[in-house]
Amino acid sequence: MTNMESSFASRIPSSVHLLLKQTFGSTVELPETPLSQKRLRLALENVEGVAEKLPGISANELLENPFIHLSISRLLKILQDVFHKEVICSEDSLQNTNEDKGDDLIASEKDISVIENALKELSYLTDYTWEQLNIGHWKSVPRIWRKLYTCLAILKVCFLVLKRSSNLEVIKECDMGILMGEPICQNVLRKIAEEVSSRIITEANCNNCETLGTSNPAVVDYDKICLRNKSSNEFEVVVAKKPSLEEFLSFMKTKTPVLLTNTIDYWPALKKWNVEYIRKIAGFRTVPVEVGQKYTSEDWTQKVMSISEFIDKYMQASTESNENQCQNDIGYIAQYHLFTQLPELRKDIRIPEYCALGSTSDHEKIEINAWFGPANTISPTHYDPNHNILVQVFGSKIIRLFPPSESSKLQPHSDSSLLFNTSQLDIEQDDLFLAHPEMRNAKHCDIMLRAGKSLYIPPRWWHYVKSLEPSFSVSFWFE
Amino acid sequence: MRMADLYFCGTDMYQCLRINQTGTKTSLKSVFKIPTVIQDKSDLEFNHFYVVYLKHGSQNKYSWYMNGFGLSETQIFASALLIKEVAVCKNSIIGLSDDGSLYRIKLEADNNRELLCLKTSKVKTDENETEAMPFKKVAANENQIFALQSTSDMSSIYLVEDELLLVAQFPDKYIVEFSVGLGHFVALSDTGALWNWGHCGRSELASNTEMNVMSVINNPSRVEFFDDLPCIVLKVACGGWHTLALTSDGDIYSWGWNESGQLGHNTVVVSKSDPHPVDLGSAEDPVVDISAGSRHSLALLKSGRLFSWGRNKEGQCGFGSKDSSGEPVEIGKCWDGIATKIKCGKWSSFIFIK
Repeated sequence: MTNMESSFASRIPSSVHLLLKQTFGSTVELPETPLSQKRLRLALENVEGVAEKLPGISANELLENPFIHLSISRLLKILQDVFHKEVICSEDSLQNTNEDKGDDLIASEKDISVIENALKELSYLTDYTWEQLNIGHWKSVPRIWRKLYTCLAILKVCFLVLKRSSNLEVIKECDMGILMGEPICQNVLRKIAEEVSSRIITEANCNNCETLGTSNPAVVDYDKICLRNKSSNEFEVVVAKKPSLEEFLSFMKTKTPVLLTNTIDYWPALKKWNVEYIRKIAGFRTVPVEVGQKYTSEDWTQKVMSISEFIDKYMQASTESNENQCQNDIGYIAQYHLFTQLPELRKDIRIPEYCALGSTSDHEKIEINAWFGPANTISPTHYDPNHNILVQVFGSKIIRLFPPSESSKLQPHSDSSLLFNTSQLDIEQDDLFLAHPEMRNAKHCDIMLRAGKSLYIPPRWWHYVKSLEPSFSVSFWFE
Repeated sequence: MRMADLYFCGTDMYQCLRINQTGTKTSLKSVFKIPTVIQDKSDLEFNHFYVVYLKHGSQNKYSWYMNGFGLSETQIFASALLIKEVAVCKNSIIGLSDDGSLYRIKLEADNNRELLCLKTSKVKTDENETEAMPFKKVAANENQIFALQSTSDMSSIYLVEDELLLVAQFPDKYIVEFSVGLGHFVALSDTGALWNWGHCGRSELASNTEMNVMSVINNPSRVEFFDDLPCIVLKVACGGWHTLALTSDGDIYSWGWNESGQLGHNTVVVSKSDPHPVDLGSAEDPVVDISAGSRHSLALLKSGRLFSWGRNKEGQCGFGSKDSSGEPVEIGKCWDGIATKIKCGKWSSFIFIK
């Protein structure tokens, strides 16, 4: 996929143009041509609350930090100066060639060095903001820092575009702003990212027409695989082939876990997706990756990297050298709202109609998470407060379920802990039975979740999940 | 009193230090001499965006000056106030005077985003209780400044803003030194006992109590680790999320966040809440001074050798490349004389040479 790396004549996403106009719309005087007026008006009409000088942040919010205040206004001035020139250039060129909307921003040599300096300063400010973002727990960080992080990312994207950087560089900045920040300015970073990513994919398709080889991972012998330490009190899971809404409602009411078959047959993802397809569509996107055997491990951490890097580093290893793979070399894109970042993948999946049976039929309230990783990713025994439909798109997972009644046997972490919904026991550890005799009769069932199947996990049911091969699951949480 | 030379490594993005960094692009040299304009001084505080420095005049007179925010060599604090120590943060400068009073300069930008003039005001202390209690020390992180009052009956640490806000109190303890990270505090008593408190989500606190990423320890918690060692802690230095402790044996112990290798333990472990010694490979040459930047650490040995470790993206570790290092690396000597004092900025290091 090296072709994807190559940059091509970078065209400015219309959303960047829109953003620049939105930011400077009231201050940039454009030549009085009918065309420019029309474009400007169009740009302004699409946006509410136009022409606040600092994108997405009111000046008052920054009064506490005079430095940021001063430096950002200086950067905006630079951006405005460069952009002003560009706009005049572009309007001139537009008069001549109505067709060519993309190549209209041409930066001069001098501007380039100005832009380079601005980018350097932005990188400094971004690091500064990053440090502020990391004070205390993520949830207690004042919103201004997340907004500022995104604001800086927007400025960076503008400068990168003016500098005619590659689409890959631009999208990386967009993703960082999306991941760390807030959706300010009508979530413009997401719009830019969508546009740029569709260009990258189109480009990759043009240059690389060969079909994607369906990567065949090591064959898993499903009959032989099982989880260790079964108790004497094992029960069979209910299997239902495409149950009706009424049938499903009764499962929900009786809090019965169900293995659902044939419910996602119509999902395009089922036929299209494999590791290489994910790489093709999303390889250049930056996402958070959990590194470490499981989230309860001491050396567990999160890293930010591109999906391609993730696949190269963690997905290949699991198929080629299962044996000598080091435990802390497990990487997992887990519980991540990948689909809001990647609409290209979102359109290949559907929200199961059963989710409408929840207390709210509002689709916005359904939390969709992606779980993408190699073999042997483990989610330690835990429960979630909501209904969960876990859909296996490719690969397979083995899951052990315990009913809420077994909670005391599972020894959850203390209520005050962040891990209160997680068991302190590693159920696959052999000395478990010796140390915790009560586990011998803990009621449970083991389920093999293979591609195309889904598992309904009722609220507060404990589950331990382990992947058996490279795997992609989608979970739908609903109240 | 007068230092011979002052050297710097890291980045001076806003040219507060008047160093010409561009001229040395070709060489790997990464430690710079600060020009004579700011040279004649014995102390300075460098925030990202401005520097405050002490200049000695004739007849034992001295004054503080500031560069940055559009100001150049501008005197701050009246000389008559006899400010002996300063602490700086993003929006204010606090001066501690000879008689133990605090003076504050608020840095404000107006709506036109221009810096307002510098005005000094005396920080009001509570009339009844603290009137007679002089302040002993000031310390700051990027966001806030704190001041220490101590007597043998009681030590108190205050957050200094428009008014004083009590942060921690130590009955019957004499606190001699304290240091603040971005979310945690460390205090050291005259007997070498150590306390820490604050955020602990990145293992900032060395303590036996159970902590999780959500919790904040509001009361000073005693660090018992050093009680069993045959030495006492002489000095503490907080980085953004890590802590260095220098013992009477000349060893450094560190704990906290290690995302850039700032603990110096040569491990990829992300964070550690139990103190571990930093191996400088020089048993005969004890450490005499320590300092911590936001995500890097600096140590001065008795012989004048210097070691640094941690984040080096801005060149703050002073060892040529821009790669971070999880193990201590010696800074190549490029000065005449001997290093006698070190001080880290947030993303920079200063070396005082005699």
